[in-house]
Amino acid sequence: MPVGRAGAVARPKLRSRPSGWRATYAPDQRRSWLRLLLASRVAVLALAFLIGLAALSALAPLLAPADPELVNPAVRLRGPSPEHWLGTDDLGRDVLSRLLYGGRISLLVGAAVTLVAVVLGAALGLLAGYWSWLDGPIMRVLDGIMAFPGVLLAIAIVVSLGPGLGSVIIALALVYTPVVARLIRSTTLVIKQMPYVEAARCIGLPHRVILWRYVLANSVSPLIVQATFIVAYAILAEASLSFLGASGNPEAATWGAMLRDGQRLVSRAWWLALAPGTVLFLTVFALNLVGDVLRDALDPRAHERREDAPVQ
Amino acid sequence: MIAYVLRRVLLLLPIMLVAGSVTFALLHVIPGDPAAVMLGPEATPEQVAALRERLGLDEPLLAQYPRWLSRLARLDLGTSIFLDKPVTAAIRERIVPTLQLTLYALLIAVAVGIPAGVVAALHQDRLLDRALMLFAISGTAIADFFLAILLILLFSVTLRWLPSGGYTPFSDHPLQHLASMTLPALALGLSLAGLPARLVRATLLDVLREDFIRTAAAKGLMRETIAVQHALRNALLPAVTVLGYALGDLLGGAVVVETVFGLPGMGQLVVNSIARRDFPVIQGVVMVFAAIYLLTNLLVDVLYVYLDPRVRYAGR
Repeated sequence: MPVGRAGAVARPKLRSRPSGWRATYAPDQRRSWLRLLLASRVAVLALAFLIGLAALSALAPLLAPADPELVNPAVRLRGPSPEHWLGTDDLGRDVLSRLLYGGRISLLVGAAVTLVAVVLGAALGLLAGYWSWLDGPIMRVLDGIMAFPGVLLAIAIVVSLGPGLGSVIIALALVYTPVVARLIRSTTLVIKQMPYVEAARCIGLPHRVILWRYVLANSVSPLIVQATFIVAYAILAEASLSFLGASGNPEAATWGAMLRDGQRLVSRAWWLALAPGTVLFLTVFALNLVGDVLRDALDPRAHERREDAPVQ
Repeated sequence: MIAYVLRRVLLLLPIMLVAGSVTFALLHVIPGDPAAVMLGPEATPEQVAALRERLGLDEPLLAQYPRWLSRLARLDLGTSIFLDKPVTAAIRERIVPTLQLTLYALLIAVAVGIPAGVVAALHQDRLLDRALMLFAISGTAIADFFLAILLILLFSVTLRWLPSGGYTPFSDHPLQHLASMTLPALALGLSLAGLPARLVRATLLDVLREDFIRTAAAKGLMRETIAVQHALRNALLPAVTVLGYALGDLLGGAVVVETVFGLPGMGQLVVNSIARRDFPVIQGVVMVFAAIYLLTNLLVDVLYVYLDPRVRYAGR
């Protein structure tokens, strides 16, 4: 996927089941979304992969066979071997160790970007959706930010703020904030018309309570789904930035920087690009699967589908 | 119709204003003195002062902002610090390969994604559907530049069929041009194709449950005829929308993929400018891409009116 926002926004339904009469009956309301997630074999596998990756990255200082920055000219460009499971790069650094440390940065950026984008975007979306006089100004500003290709805006912001992990997180959070804001605005516009919101207003609840307890609380499901996809695409975007050398210390062990080395030496050392690229792919793939399963589980429309297509 | 287009153009103006303000702000969020940051630590105070004056940084913000906007309105993006020529000239030299790559990638995404979506929908929940959708999610999960490296590894390093880099202008040698653009366009286009494929499949499955499809089936039309002539027409609109929407990502992706293949496009300009801290160039490139994105989406909206008559009535 070209890195940016489209993947995080347009998530067409993957599964077309359950359909047929069975689906229109017996929607078991007691099943929590966590149980629905665990009911899917694919999602369990994906979750297991993600948890394993997080654990390996967190324990990188204990598990890594070598210092990821340690230059050792004696073992330059060695292929996978018992000493270096994933080989070494052109400075003799251990690829497996760099992969583990790179995972920390990727996961940290993915989580931090999503947290900031969700908080900021939800606040803006609630304001824009709830008070119509704020809608125009807020949405025009967000449209203006959306006009920039995600990676390029992030590059420009990182170059302005100066290299560093903090700049990358701020830049990518700004890229994904409009995505969250649009989602929450659209749910707010629907929810504020609901009778229970009207009732809440009638008994004199203040706006912030209505927004928090009714509007936001009822937007949590789509927000969780959206957040999952933002984690995935923020990780991909961080890799793009460090691939282009726009993220900070060019020697730091990040998946993007490793891919850049791999690209430079592609004809001499295939393992250099293959290791970080595959792990990056699997991570984004797993997050996508979890997001898809969550969305199908949390989508209330999944329970009231029409009959099977006559053309099959 | 003309009124609709005019209104769309007017709606574009405030967004352009915001985009221009964002690029203006980019220069002013630089911590410390932007001129000193751009010239690096080895610059003399005189050089820094000269650059400050050249960029107009010595004036108050309130004077700089309207001047920046008026220059933008005249399509003047300033002067590159390092290349010592107008940013617009630097971009004009570099923009052709980027636009070509974006266009080819879009064509590949459409040519692969839409048929794949139709075939998957017609084989719903069967093996072919599962396999196609596995490829589609893989496409949305793989980094375009990693796919580019994999393609180089397969077609250039191992099979030696296609060049792994270099660029030939179309006017010089059309065939060589296409050979040099094949791998970059495949990397970008195939990784995007999953998006329209999934969308076409999902909307087609919805449309296939509509009453008019039942009618068509009842009067004895063939499955394929119904799918292509009746259903696909209605299922294409979301795909057009999402491709217009993904264009921004595609332009950004072109910048990244270009650097893998060493194409002399905007990507190289951006990467070189990052290293040189040539800020006016980065500002200019970002602004040009935003303008391309907004104008193309305007085109998509106008196209919509032709594709879907309902929009014409709803737009009133």
